[in-house]
Amino acid sequence: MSSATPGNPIARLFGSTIGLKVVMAVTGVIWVGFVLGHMVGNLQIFLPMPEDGVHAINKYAAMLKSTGGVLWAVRLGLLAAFATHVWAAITLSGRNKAARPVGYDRYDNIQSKPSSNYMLISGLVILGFLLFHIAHFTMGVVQPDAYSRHLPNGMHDVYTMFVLGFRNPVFAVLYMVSNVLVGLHLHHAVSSMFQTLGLRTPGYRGLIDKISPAVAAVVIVGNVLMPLAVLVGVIGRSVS
Amino acid sequence: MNLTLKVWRQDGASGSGQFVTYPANDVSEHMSFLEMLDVVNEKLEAEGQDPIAFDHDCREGICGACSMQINGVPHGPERGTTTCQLHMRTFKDGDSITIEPWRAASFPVVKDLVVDRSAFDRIIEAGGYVSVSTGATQDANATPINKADADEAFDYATCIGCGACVAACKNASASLFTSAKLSHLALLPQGQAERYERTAAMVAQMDLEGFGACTNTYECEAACPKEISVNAIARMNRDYLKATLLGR
Amino acid sequence: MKLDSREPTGPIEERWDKHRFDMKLVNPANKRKFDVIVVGSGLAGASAAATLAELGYNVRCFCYQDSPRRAHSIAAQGGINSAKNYPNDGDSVFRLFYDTVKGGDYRSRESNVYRLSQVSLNIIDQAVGQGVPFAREYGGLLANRSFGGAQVSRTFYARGQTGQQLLLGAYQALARQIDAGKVKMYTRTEMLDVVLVDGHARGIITRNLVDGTIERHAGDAVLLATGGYSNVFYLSTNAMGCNVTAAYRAYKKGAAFANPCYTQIHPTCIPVKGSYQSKLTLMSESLRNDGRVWVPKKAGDMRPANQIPEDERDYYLERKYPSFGNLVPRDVASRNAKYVCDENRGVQGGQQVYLDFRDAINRVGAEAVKAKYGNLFHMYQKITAENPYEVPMRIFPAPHYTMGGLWVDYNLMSNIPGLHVLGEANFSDHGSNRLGASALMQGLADGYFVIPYTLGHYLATAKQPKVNTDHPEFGAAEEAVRGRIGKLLSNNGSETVDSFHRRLGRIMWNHCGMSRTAEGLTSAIEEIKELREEFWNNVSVTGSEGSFNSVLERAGRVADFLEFGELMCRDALTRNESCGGHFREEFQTEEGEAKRDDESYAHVAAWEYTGDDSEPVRHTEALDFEYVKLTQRSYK
Repeated sequence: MSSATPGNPIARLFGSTIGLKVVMAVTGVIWVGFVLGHMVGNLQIFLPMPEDGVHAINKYAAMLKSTGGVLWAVRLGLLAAFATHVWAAITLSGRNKAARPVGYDRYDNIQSKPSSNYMLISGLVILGFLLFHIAHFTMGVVQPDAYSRHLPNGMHDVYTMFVLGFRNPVFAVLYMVSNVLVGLHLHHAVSSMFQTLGLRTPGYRGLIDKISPAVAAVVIVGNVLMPLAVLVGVIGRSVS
Repeated sequence: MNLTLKVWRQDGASGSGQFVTYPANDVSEHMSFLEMLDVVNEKLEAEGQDPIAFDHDCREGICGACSMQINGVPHGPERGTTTCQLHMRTFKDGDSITIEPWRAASFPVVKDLVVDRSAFDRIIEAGGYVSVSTGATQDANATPINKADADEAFDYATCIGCGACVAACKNASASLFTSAKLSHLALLPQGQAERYERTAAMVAQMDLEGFGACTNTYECEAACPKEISVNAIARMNRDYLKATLLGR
Repeated sequence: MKLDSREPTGPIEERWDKHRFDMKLVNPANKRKFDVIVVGSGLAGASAAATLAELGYNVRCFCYQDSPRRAHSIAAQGGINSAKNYPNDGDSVFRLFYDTVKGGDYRSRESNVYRLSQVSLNIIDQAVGQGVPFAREYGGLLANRSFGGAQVSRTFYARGQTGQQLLLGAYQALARQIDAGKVKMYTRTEMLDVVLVDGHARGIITRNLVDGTIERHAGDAVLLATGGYSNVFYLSTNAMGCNVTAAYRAYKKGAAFANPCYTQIHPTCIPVKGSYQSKLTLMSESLRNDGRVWVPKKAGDMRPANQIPEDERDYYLERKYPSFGNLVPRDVASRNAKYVCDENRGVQGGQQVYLDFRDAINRVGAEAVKAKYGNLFHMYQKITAENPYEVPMRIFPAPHYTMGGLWVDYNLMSNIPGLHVLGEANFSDHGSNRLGASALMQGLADGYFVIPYTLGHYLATAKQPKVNTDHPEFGAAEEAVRGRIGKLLSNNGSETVDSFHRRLGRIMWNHCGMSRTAEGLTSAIEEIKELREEFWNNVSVTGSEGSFNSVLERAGRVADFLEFGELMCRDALTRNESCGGHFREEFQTEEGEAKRDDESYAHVAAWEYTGDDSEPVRHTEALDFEYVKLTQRSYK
């Protein structure tokens, strides 16, 4: 056994399979936090219209925008995390495929969860969805009309954009299906992050394995509820 | 009972292989799976044909030689059982059984169902030991070891190096094998001095051998004939992270 | 042939120390100039290869398995003895020595056994230092249990997998030296001959089992650690690949084969089920600590166990041996199982007796029994589909270990200079019967603590010139090996190798098994000769030489067993006494116990090969007992 492996720690981390998994776990944690925060922010859509006539979600959007540089820093950070996550996933996937060049004629599953076996697929769909979502609601190129609405006070009318966006059944269904996939991705990912970081110890293993599907359920329910509510007309009836 | 076997035959490392179907008739339910293959082989031999090559030795579930994918699962349908301890009472008359070698780039096929698992030896050689030379030890009872730790270390040390974990993993990862040895030694005071160097060295060798990454599906744990827990992998990951950050 | 044991003299407790001082040393800087060949990677081979490499020798280690970790030592279940006396129950180096000599029925060399007993202390320290996870008490200190043939608890264990854990310890030490470049490991390689130059063992001829390449390896000494020959019985507890070939080829090159008739039939194995059976599975002897052995009192009683009332059960070991009860030594336990089955009192009319845990479960609870024997019960259930927590286990004796082996002196060197023999492959320490938990002890003692000293002495004193594999002796040996392989392959017979092996096994089991008679042995010798001739005329060996060919591998091994079996029978026939595992029906006490003849047979019988067409010559080495008084063994 050599006394110390050469190379700096970060380079080694990015070069080894466990290191790449750690990279995925850390970037994954960032995105789990973002997905939950993003969802909580958006759930304000269900709040009743306040007396001043400016919907809570519009105020929230204005507040986020007012942070200026911070918002962009966060956006770039998230982008970097996402890109790193995808890069690590694709790198590992390549290694994994190379590790079994000849497959089995028959390959049965014993105990692994289906969600854990389709992470790359669910991940790639999520990537596509994310790009669409940014084009749709952040850049406004999908529905320019809905995106261009502003309140009389000059605020961006996110509420109306949201409602107009999901009134379209194609978009609503797309968002619902995509968010189910996000949930399934997290169903495996949350527990997997703990395992990769070595925190899924015998004492906490049971708890972690309960948290993971719980997070998935929260993400699915919360994010599906919003387009669904618009689609069936529970919210946004006043928007025209 | 009468069975139909669909067996992978391959003439050596470079040769191409194909499935060949053999009948296995008058199989007793008391036979072990390998004894069933013995009977098929003896018939082939008597006909002057080349018998099906497979690794086997102790036939009591401890040497780790036997290694075949039976109906899509390493060591067949019974949990916590090696192929040699699998008995034909697990099957029914008329069953068709698919038998394949372990499939992994790091386990090249030698012949038929025999694969080369020397990559496992090289992982151990990279650091799976305590660097103590003969004679240089203190009295065996000089250091008490917590019983729970000793028992857990034993559980990991029961790994027989058969390779079922690699065979079961969709990524052909050797994480369970490597981490079982790391955990065995990490839980004992004797293993502490070299703990992080050992982790770094064995993980590096594991990667060098071309095994895939662990994506935490835990299929290995279910396939392991010694039912070794993936808790070992969590410990390996933790120790590896520490080793890397410590610059070991 | 001169058999010089080279035993040191003087007080027995000082002999090994004195001998270590008297032996010559190899200067540390000179050790790397010596090449040592180690054949076998079990406890003895792996520990020797690792330790010699640590000392600085260049080691080449060979095994037929695909990894050194799979050698059959891995399957030893019960434990390893050591005179540590941690339980404070009266053990000592002398008591372990005494028990081992007595257990071996006074047919072993006192000096060797005393040394074994002494180094037993170091073995446990060494194993723990390597991280071998022995069982521990709640206080964190090592646990001990008792084992057959002993009245103290001196057995260290790792659940039912002690052999595995000790072998992995030795394997890891070996791996460390492979990594350091001091050991070159050759897996899937079988030794087919030993090469002698000027009377010294200087190399081996091997066959690569993957591609069939025949290779020559030269060195300064050859160590055989190739295990025992129980597979001569076809069905045994040995691994399928275990064989006598290496030892037998050495014998044919002039090494004396000592006491081949000393075989151990282990009392607690799972009975034979059918003709397809390929091997027998041992259930650790430790089960006899809590299990009670019994059969129905009535002959031909076919009732299931739970319908046989208590007073119609015969706990025959407890009845005949009240002080040792179920813990009598293996030979005694096995023979008595045979007796009751011969009386047609075997369970369900078969060759089997009960090993019953009912009382233990009632006494301490099923959980406590599970904690101790869980993996063994699990294994039993897997094989038999019967639940031993509910119905008693069925067991019967099976060939397990062979005390006989190549003759070695106190330095573990055979009568061929430079050819050393370690572990089960030698004859040295167990006399005519080995006590439980002593095999692991001996294998590791030889490898870790004896050969590293004695080999140095040989190398320092032999002063042989360097040879390489171009030497004509290598050419001749390789030619012979190739000729034999060619002969096997060109034989267009119709009977399979296994079929011959099974037939040989039946002859050996019937005539040279648990009990033997002059008449049976005489007929066995003739039967084996005929079988051997038939083999060479009618065996079917498929495949080619230059490829992976399991049939050829087995054919070569069976061919050697077919010669060796005859030697075993000859040895059994000429030893006109009963001792330990060698039981001649003509020589028994009135109570049916083994009756030794110390006047005529307190010696080692070592056989010299004289040619295929002439009978081997029997030489003897007298055994002197200065410290242990020869008595009729009694476990009553």
